Amino acid sequence: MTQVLEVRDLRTHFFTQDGLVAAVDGLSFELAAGEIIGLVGESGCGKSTAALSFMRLIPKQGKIVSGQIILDGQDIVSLSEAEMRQLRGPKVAMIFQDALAALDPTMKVGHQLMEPLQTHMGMSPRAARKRAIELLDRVGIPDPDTRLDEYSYQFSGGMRQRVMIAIALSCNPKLLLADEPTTALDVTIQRQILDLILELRDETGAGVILITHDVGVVAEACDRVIVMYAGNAVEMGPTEEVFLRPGHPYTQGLLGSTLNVGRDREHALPAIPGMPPDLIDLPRGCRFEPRCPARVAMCSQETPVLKSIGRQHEVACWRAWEKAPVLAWDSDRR
Amino acid sequence: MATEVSLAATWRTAKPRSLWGDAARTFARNRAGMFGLVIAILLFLAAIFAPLLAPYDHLEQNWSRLREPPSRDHIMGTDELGRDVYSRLLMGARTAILVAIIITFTATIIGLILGSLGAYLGGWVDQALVWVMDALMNFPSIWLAAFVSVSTRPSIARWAQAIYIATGWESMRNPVILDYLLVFGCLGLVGWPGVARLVRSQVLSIREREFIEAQRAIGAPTWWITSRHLMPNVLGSVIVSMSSSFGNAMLAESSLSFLGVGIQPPGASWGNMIASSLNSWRSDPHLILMPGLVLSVAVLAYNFIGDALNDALNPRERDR
Repeated sequence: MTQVLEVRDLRTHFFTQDGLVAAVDGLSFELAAGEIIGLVGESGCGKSTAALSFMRLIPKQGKIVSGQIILDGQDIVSLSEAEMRQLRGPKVAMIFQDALAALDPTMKVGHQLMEPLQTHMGMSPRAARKRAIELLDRVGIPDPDTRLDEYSYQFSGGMRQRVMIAIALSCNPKLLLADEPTTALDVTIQRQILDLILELRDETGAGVILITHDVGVVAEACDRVIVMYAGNAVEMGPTEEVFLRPGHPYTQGLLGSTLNVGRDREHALPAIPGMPPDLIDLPRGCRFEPRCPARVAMCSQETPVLKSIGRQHEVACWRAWEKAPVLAWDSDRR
Repeated sequence: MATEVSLAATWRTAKPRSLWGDAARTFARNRAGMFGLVIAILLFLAAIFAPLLAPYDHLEQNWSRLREPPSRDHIMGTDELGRDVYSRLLMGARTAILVAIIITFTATIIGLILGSLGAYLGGWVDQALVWVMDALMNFPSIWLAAFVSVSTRPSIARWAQAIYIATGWESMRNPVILDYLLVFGCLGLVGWPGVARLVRSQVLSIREREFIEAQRAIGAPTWWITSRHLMPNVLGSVIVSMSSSFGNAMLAESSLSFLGVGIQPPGASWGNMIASSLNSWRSDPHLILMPGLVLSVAVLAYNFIGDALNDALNPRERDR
């Protein structure tokens, strides 16, 4: 399989008044065509900044300071803004969390859908309109011919997200970034949208990066999962492998803090104590060390890097590499 | 099953609607807005056709019929110089509308240009702009306009004289035209910061909205984002501000004229009509009542229009 995205040692830093914020600090991974990777972690751990880096759309104060982002065989880090704009749409596109905010309230949905078709694919207005109807039909919007001439506020939440997906897929991107595409929707609609993304992935063969903090969504949809903590990947591997044998205490904590209706009625929902570290003032050694129940002296001295602990399963944790499995969180319940 | 059928039917019968068509429909449902629109149109027609509608020349004095109450000959009576109040009101409408149009457009154009420049360029340009706007807006606007009008009048008059000598343009000697120029200048000066501030903040906030980001994420060119997404979203509030500043401009012109620093007699303005009848308001209340009433209704009408436009041009607040 061909790689649509190869990220090597990506560092995206923000230069704020308070100091340097290392939002993404040494992220590396690969994504194959047709593959779905789940990017999970708490708020502020660098998931969204990573995704915006892949589009080169990081806010003004931010900068990709080092690393490579090889999108469909081309390193995009050094491209000019004009060259990059040509790639947004045909090579990489994004589905946003809040479709209502991401659609222009004063422009008909159809025109927003036709826009990329006309600017990138050079379609005539008539051809673009025809294609827009097909696209809306494809994402499951009934009566697309009429709906094309309506405004985003006239759509329901789920329908809006479908429109967003149609816009993102209009130029057949090789890489689709979905930033919490289901978070703003209710559960039944979440399911439909997720299914739609999976279907379209099968059809177009696009690689998908699904950013979420919903572990359930990852379990359901993703081939592989990357767990991020404080700007770094702390665990990476096939979804099943990571879920069954989580190596990093943070991953264990994340999985442990989800609700299991059958089992958890008697127990309080376990949570990871503390807050993610301030990215300006990072602790020495492992970044999770201050919150980690399994920490040892070594953890505050040296930073662990990703290392294999199983088939394609990598973890950045000193304790996980020990022979005995680390069962840090509430071991009697496992 | 039945609901499915009826849903499909409503979808099919729903006609495509444009943003402006939609706005017009919402506007038409707003009673106060429609009332304002009717008044505004009547006022415009009155101003345009004033010379045809006026039964007398607004400057013609009839010394045998001073300060008469409304009668068959003079439906709104006569003033202290025996001039027909109705005719003067019509000509006053001309002044008010002309001033309002010119002031609103100057203020809006200057505001649009400076406001968007400040938002775009940022840095010291933006900083300087904000300082100037704050400085101008810190003065009571009428006070500032009156001050500028009074203090610049002699030099403007000298320039006009010089232009007349150099070019021979008769109009440069006409004191009423000088009044107009002064009023335009002062009110434009105090009017633009409000618009610039609005435009600047709108551009700044809309630029950060997610749909602009989404447009960039799909690779839309900058000119496209600016013209198709940024401007239409800014324009709505600019149009609203224009319609309400229209009424305010009328009020400001009348205030200046009332204070004696705007349109001077014998030029007709609602403001100077009220001012010149102030001494006799006990005996002849109609001389103040007529221009006062017309002015109030006009300003109210434009505020209604502004309000209705605000509802109509904001798609989120619009009901389906």
